[in-house]
Amino acid sequence: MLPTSLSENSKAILLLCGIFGDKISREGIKPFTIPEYNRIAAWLNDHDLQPSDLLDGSIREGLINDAHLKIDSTRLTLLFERAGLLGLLTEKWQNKGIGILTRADELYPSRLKERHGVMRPPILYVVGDLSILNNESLAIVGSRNVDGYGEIFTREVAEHCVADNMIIVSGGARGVDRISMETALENHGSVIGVMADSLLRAALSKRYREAILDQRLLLMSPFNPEAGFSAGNAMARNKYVYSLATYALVIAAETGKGGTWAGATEELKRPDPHPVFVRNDVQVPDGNIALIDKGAIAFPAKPWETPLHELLQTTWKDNRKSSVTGIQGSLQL
Amino acid sequence: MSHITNDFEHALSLLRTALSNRSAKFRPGQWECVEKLWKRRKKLLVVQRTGWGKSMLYFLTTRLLRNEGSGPTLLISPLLALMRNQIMAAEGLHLQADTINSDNTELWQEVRENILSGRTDILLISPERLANEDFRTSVLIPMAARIGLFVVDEAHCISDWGHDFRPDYKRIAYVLRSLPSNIPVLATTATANNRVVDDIANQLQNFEIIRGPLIRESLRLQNIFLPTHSERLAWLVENLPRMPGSGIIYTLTIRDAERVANYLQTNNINALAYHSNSENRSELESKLLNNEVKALVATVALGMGFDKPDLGFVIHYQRPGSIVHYYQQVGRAGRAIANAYGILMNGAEDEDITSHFIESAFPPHAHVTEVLSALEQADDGLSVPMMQRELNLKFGAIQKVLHLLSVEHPSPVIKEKSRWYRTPIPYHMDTERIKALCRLRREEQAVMRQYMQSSQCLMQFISNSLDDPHAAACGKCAPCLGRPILPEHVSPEHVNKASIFLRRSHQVIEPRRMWPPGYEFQSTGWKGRIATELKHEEGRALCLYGDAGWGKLVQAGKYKYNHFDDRLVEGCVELLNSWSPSPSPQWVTCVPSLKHPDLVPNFASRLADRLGLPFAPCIVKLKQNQQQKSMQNSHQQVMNLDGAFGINSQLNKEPVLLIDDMIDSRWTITVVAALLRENGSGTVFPLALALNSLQR
Repeated sequence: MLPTSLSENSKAILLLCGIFGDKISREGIKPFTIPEYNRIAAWLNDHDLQPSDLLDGSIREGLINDAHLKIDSTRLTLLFERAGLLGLLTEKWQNKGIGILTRADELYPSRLKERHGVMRPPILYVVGDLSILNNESLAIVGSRNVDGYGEIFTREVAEHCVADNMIIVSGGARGVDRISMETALENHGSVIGVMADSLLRAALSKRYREAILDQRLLLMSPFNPEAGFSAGNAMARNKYVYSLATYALVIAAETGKGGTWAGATEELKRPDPHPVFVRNDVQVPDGNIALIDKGAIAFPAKPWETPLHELLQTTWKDNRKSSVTGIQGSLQL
Repeated sequence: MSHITNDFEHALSLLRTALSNRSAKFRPGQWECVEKLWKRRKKLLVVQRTGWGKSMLYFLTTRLLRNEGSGPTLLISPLLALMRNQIMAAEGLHLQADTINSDNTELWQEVRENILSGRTDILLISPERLANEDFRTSVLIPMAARIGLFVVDEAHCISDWGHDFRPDYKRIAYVLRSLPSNIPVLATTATANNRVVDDIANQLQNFEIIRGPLIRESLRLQNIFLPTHSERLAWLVENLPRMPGSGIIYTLTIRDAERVANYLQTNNINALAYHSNSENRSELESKLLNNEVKALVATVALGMGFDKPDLGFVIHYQRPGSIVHYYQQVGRAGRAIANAYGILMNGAEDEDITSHFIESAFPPHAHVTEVLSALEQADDGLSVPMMQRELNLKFGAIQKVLHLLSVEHPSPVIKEKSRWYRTPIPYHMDTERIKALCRLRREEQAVMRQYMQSSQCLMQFISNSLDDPHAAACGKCAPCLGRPILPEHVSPEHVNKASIFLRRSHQVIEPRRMWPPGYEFQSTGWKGRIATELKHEEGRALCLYGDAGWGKLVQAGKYKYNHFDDRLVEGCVELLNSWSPSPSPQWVTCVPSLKHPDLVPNFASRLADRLGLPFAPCIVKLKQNQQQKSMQNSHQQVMNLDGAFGINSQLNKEPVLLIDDMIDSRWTITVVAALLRENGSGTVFPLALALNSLQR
């Protein structure tokens, strides 16, 4: 189960970085960004301190007095004055079943920690059973408006994943995300949903509630559980979908634009990309082909008889070998 | 060292300003608390008797923190308004105290501006408001960006080991736990034994406990055993006029509060009933505050936060369920006067009533399962009336289940607007804990029995039971003095007078106004508001079921002899004489029963004979439905009656007296009266032998 009480370290991180909603932002209250937080964390490390030490006013003074950090003292004061607000908000969220994990928590998902290091989200809001994070999983991504071919393909893959005990990772958005998620849940499979908005509403919806109670659905978000839709957040969320999954499958992408393209190319550019597959059967959009040029590989053709994750593993390995040879070959020229 | 002295001098001069007393001193422990909150941002749980000056702690600390630029204090208190003496202290410190509650929505905008512009020094809200989701999200949170001090009054309500446990407080406990250590927090209570203090401390985590003596020196305690209602009523009439000032008489049930107040009034003693159904509670409170009544006869509803420093006496008409309760209630007397009385009377019925409260405190497992599964099936949550429609459960039973579920954290159910929703939190009923709580309540009941018999100092007995380390003999109570303070006996004349009154405890039966929401009769199409021409008139019941006086006779007639005694006929005749319904009924009929076909008709025809009116058994039972008393809520009760009765003859167009033996939900009488009216009878006056209800 999720922890129901917060450590003082977590509370301090929430005061520093937590965005507590549009309605309550006041002039001058700007929570620290990840790079800003990292500078503070480094300072704490240098002084052999922890985030919770910042709850002591004299330590905060030390932080402000360090001219290298250029921390605005009013900003820091205003952020820490949110203590009462923090109590009211976190209790409300926790009462409705939302767990709060910060970088300081042991339960913070190791896949995010390993892949994103200091750029991982300082705070995660989660609902459901964290243990499914460590299983073999496939992220299924694609546009909000998917055609019939894409939709059927999405369902087939999701059903096959359930049959092979693979977990679906999805962004929870309309279109491909939700189709894959709901197909898996309807077939009693397990799903991780990485939400860009409205985590609280999703957690309470009848659609997801049963699966959460059954420990088959984990919803998480790096954003305020009550945050509304924002394109920026949706874009920022994509990389975590890839990071939490062993493999990814792009159902439909448009060349050079949209979140699906951006997310897939971002993953492919990483030094350690997770295997990115694209649907390449019939009637696929040009973005899918373009992604293959960028290093993605065609999803194996049907029928998928061996367990799916083995098939994906072999396909990925074979493809790597050939592409590595390819590069060497071109160097020889 | 010197700046500590300066801090102290500064705080002391503020205290003196607040009290407008140049030589005032801190009460023992007060300065230490202020210093911990102000200078060290500590979290404190302060256990001190009422009157010690807990509110001064938060006023002073607020002033000191505000002077240094901190944000306002958030004060959570079941008191909707600060008491007069508190307001004076706040004004002395130039503190602006604002409150937002359901009664002052027109001021919310102004308060909001006061807070955002920094004018508000103390924001007072009730625990109910804090727990209200819509209020918290749309009103409180937007203005909570810089709370400087968090204060929770009556913190014992956090513990479900205590008697005043309130679900709203459970939420507060978790808010306090979520507060980081850079905000000072003050939780206060006047009553808590070790078990409760430990439980609170355990729930709040990292709080420092500060505890003072609970003994109240001005109280003169005495216990008096008078088994019957008539003896106790007589005692009140004889002794109240001798009591100093004004005070409170506590009863265990609403009906006893009403009855005692009623009897005192007929004896020219100015006493008024006060309970959770009283409409004008704050008016009643201010009457007592201003000594405009001799006494309020109150249930536990007159409780927390009621502060009248010169309250002259607290008398218990019945024995409360625990020492904690008793101390809390009796401790309202004599806060700022030298002499006050605390008299505990004990009747034969007390044990049954307190046992009933213990047994009905928790919902059975089956109810919990039913409510949860209904909520799980619902697409968009359910309101309580919607649940009543779907489940055969009483309003109160559904409330009990929701109460039990919503104190879980995280909670398996949440309320938004008027609807309840299931959350993705698994739930398992903790039956072991419930058993343990019931066991504890039984033990507390036993301690009260011992207290009642105690021959040692009563104040010391209380202090010991509350784990007060400062417990000592008071030298003022009846056992300490070795003689009664007030007489223990009553004159037979007064007892006789009271017993005659008790026999005349007629009960009014108000007509119902609405059919159950959403229900439409299949047989007649009735729904919504009950049409005036179908309603019965105000009726009467001879007594309360099982009560002293007539009650026992009704019980024996119904379950032992299958025949109602002639004395009950005479009782009804007497009742009709004093009631004199108008227009006067010209004939008599009765509600039929297939189970006891003769019981009520036999009684009704004897009564009709005695009144010289014709008796016409014109109502027939068309089907054998479920027993009405097994139907748990309005919806189910009415559904069970739909089509159950018919009229078998041409009706007399004159006003009619409609007889039944027992009235509980009033639905039978409402449906039968509507049938009579629809079939052409005149106005219907219900008359029942007993009213069945047990309300706290």
